Amino acid sequence: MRCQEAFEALSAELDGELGADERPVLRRHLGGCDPCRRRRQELQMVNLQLRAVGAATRIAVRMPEALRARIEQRCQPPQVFNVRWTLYTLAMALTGASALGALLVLALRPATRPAADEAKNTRNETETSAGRDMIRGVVTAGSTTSPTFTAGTGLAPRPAAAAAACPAVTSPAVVVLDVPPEKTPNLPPVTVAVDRCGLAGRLVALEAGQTVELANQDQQPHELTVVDPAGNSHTQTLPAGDRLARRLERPGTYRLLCDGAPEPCGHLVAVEHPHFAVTDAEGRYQIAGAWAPANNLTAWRPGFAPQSFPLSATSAAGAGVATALTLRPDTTALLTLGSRPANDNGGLAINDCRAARQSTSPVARACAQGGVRQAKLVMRALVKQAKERGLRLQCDSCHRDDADFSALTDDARTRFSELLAATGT
Amino acid sequence: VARPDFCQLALPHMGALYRTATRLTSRVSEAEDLVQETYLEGFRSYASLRDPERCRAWLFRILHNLWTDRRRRDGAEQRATNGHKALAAVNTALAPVRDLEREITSAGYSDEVERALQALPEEFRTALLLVTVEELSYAEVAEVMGCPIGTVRSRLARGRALLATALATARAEEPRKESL
Repeated sequence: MRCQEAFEALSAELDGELGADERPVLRRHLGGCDPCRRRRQELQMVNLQLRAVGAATRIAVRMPEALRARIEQRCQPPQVFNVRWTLYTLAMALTGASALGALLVLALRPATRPAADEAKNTRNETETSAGRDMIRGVVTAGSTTSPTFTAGTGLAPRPAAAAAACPAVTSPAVVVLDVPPEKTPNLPPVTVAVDRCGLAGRLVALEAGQTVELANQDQQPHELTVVDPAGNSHTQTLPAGDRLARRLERPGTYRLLCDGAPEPCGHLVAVEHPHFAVTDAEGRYQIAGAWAPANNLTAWRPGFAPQSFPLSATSAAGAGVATALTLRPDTTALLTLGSRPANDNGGLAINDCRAARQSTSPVARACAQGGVRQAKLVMRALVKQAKERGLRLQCDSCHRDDADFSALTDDARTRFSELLAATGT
Repeated sequence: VARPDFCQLALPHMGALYRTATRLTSRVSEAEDLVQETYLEGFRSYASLRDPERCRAWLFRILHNLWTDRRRRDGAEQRATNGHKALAAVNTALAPVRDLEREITSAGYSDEVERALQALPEEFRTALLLVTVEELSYAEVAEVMGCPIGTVRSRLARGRALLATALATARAEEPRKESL
């Protein structure tokens, strides 16, 4: 045995890994080699210190409880992920409906309510009667600072007299039940009048897939721009007396811009099902019909944050339970009435996110807190993090259409689970 | 005989994996990521583990591979061993357990050994830590590091030799520092 071999054998001996056949050979070598005997002592000292490092590490380096809990949570049989995903998709289905507003047929609504009246409403409540086939209630103004609009806003400058003739308008609210998508066949077009005061109302709701006809009833042409929920815009000049028909395939909020003004002159909200309503001049709404079980409804007004209202369990008698709600003015939503980019959440600044409520994913939480914009930022960050950890993932791994985040690929659910797992969220 | 499930086999090794990850990464947050990723990967590829009794080595191997991949991806030069950083990480880990300081000191722990350890080439250090801290067998370390047992044995011996030299040098320099 050479000294080099003896040294390896000494090291192995310290670890209890020296073979039985090597021991006598090593012993013989040590008997005749002083340097190796000295090295053995050195090695024993080093090993004692190494063991001390091991002992200290085992004492001191403790796994954080949060990490332990996260791993234990992840370390579950696959069906747990399935359950999570089921909840997630369910949340998507439920909240997706709410994200898409409703629209008021402008002609049906006088929509002339003085701002002073609104200012008196310091408390906002929605009374909801929840029954099997009827929900009704009242949505009042969000606060004394609730925005009012002068009809004609968003139109080209007109003579002062003409402008003065247009009253201040408080936009109605749209109330949407959170139920899965459902399509009503053969719906007729909805006509929205653009007259000398612009849009007679500022919010029109209809079913996704329905056609809206913008009718210029003014004496002069108007240039109309329709900005869809994905931010794509279509502009057309509408001569006096003419109509522009457009089918609103994509659910969500469509903004109407008139005569090149940055501020919208109205909103069209396309809902994925027929269970929605727009409030009347007094803030009343009523949704009638038959629908899948729903836990929430969502109310939104331009200038306010979309708000989800739980539908309390109905009493034995089937009578609804009043639910007090508060619509809060939302600067984001206010800004969407101004010059913010059209694709920056559109009208439904917050709830236009399908995973916003029931899902516990960080994307859903971000959406609930900061709307689609925030959710996208978080999603990007998660994807980046996942890529860093070796997950092969691109936007189009899950999203069919980069302009519509809700159009998902068939295996999106699996990929999303992987993403969450890979990022430890 | 029913195959034990992944959780039953793998969860008891969390602490050991975390300790090793802390030493490898020199950063607590990165160690957490690494351990989490290890379990994720383990969960995914559990079916490929032929012998459940080798679960511990298999998990360590996953951790080691993930770490190696990361280093390769991020650029080895950026992650060149930094003894001070590693020491700081370990000291950070030690900080919350001040009540155990006496126990640690009495166990012979010292910054000097830690520094010498961190100055070792990574494959030597890893082998030494797996054997002395986590008490893995040579066969397990070979599986973790993807090399023959003979190589493990050689790395351990050379690592110890380097460590002995470094500690002897440090001891020789100590009186000089004191005299300054």
